[in-house]
Amino acid sequence: MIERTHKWRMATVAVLIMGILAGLGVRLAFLHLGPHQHWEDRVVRMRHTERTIPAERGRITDRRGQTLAMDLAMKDVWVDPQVIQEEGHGDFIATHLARILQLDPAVVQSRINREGRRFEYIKRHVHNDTAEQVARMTFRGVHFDEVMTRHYAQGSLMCHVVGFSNLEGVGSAGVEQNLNMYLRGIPGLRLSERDGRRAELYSRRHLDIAPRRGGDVQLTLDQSLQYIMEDALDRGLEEFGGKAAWAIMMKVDTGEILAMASRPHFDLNEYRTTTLEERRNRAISYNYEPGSTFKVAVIAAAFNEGLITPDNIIDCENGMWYYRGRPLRDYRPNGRLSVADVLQKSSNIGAAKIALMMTEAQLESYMRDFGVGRRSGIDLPGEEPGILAPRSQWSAISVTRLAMGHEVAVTALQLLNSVNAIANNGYLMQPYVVKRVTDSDGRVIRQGEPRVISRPIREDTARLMAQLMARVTEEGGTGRAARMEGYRVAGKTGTAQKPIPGGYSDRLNIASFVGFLPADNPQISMIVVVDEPLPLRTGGAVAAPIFKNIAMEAVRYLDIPATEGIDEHVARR
Amino acid sequence: MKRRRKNRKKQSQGFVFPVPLALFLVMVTVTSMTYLWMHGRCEAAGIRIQQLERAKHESHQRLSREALKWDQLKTLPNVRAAVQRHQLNMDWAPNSRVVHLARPSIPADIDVLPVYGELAHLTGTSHE
Repeated sequence: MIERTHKWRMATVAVLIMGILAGLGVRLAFLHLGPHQHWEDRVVRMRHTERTIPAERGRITDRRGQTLAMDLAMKDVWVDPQVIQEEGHGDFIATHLARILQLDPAVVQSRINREGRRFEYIKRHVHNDTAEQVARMTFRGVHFDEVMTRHYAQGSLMCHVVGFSNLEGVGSAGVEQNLNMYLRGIPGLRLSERDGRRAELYSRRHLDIAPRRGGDVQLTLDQSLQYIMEDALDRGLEEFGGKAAWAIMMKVDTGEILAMASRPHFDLNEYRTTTLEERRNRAISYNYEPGSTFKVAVIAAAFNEGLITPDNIIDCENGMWYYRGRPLRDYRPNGRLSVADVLQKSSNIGAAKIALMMTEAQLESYMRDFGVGRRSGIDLPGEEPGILAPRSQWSAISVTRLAMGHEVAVTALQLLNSVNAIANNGYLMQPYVVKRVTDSDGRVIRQGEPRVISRPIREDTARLMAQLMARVTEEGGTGRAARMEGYRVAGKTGTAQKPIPGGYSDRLNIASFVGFLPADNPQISMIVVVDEPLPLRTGGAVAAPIFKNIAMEAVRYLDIPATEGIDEHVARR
Repeated sequence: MKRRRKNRKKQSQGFVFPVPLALFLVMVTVTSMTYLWMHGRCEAAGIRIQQLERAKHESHQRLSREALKWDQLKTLPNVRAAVQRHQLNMDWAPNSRVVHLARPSIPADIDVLPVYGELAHLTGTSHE
């Protein structure tokens, strides 16, 4: 009897199990043999993963390979206010976070105390070392997200040249913009599947294309020279006032830009909070009337045409001269001056009379050959071409005004480049800032090469002008403040009145000094411009000392031998 | 006494599992186990590869950070700050104390005099 009961129970259980298995089998059959495309698609969608792997943007370095811009993994620090409030250590955490992250404690406190919030950023783009300091404190409720960000290692140094790339990784200013096609990499692609915990299954990786890193850009600028220049500009602005200042240093024989600075400036890592004024690279985008510095080009043209010699005497009318009924004044009255002294003492009347010796066609031709009125073609965005009206639009007195650097507008780069032609035996070079571009494998894909744009004057004219310009920094010259021990500096001062509605301002000037050294064997040329310095306003009093401060350090840094006042004792082997 | 013979008929009526089938099942089992083992190894290798990929990424990041730190140490402001910190009073040498050496352009096929023998290697010639 008991045996029969056992048998029935076992048979019942067996039938149940068989029934369940049969049901599962039928369901399985339906899924595989019936319409299953919907389920298959759903599974594929859940498991399939397609990920674009962002490419690292190329680096920007200076001419010595020092990093200026690179992609860097940083951390965003965020908190969970609810957790922190539950723990009751909000004040303690806020104090320490503020100290380590260098933030206002009140701001941190307010973010931690936000009611009902589970996520609040404390600081974004924090260096890993700093984030580790926070992590070591093991605060509950404090978290980190890793982000790749474009980091500018030197902050505001060389900001106008390097530029920045935006959040989408597109270059938006400077070299970052101009060379975006080289700097941006090629993103990779990964097609794979993931398991129930959303973890990728390596064995199911169908496609794996590695990202290709962007190319590296090496600039012609030197970070140390740039620092020297920016430091001198900052000290100059502090000493002489002024609402802006800019400077450029160029290598004479090649046209390579060694340093380029503009004030006001901005921190490249904080570009989102800058103003247009701060972002403006005045060295290439600010047109201004060059004033007396332009006499160099006019007098060089007259020499080149054989119209004058250095000893020719020019009557400078004791400081006041009427031409075609319009007065022309000198800053200081001069009587009869040699051509050499016209340049040294910067006589407007003398320069005007020299310019009148040429025809309008000759004068315009020389100015255009010197690069006035057109872009130099430097590999930076935003370059202005300057303003030189065609001679058909000149008035009866335009020649006299052009001779003293009015009725014409140039950028600092154009003016420096034209003076550099004098230093470079008459060859006008194409200025450039990109020395080399290499791809991620180290192959050179673009090489900056010196290029001659034109030759406005002959070598003998250039050498003569160099000697005459060297007198500007000697006793009796307007640029004495640029004189340096051991080096002959050739240069020209400029004090251009700024145009205002109805004429020119009596108070507001643009003070400048442009020159090169050593005068006998020029290695570097440089221009310094200060906008509206007060109370001192002249190029000789304001720009020339800044020029000297930069040049004094630059010659040592570049190991340019002194040419004066030392023993000519050279060890030979 | 007579020994009882074994009743072979009864014994022969029991089910004898066929050897080929047994061998087949053993092979299937071994193959399945081997497959599972290899699959596990592949999965483990895949996990290890992913770990190494992450480690490589981390190493690359760390290298970038360290290279950046080194670059920043060498900048002029940092060098000047370090000089000041260590209270070193450094300045450029005056021009009168700077000696510039000039290498004479001696053609390679000209023998250097014996008295200058020890310096011959500097001019690219040799007495050897």
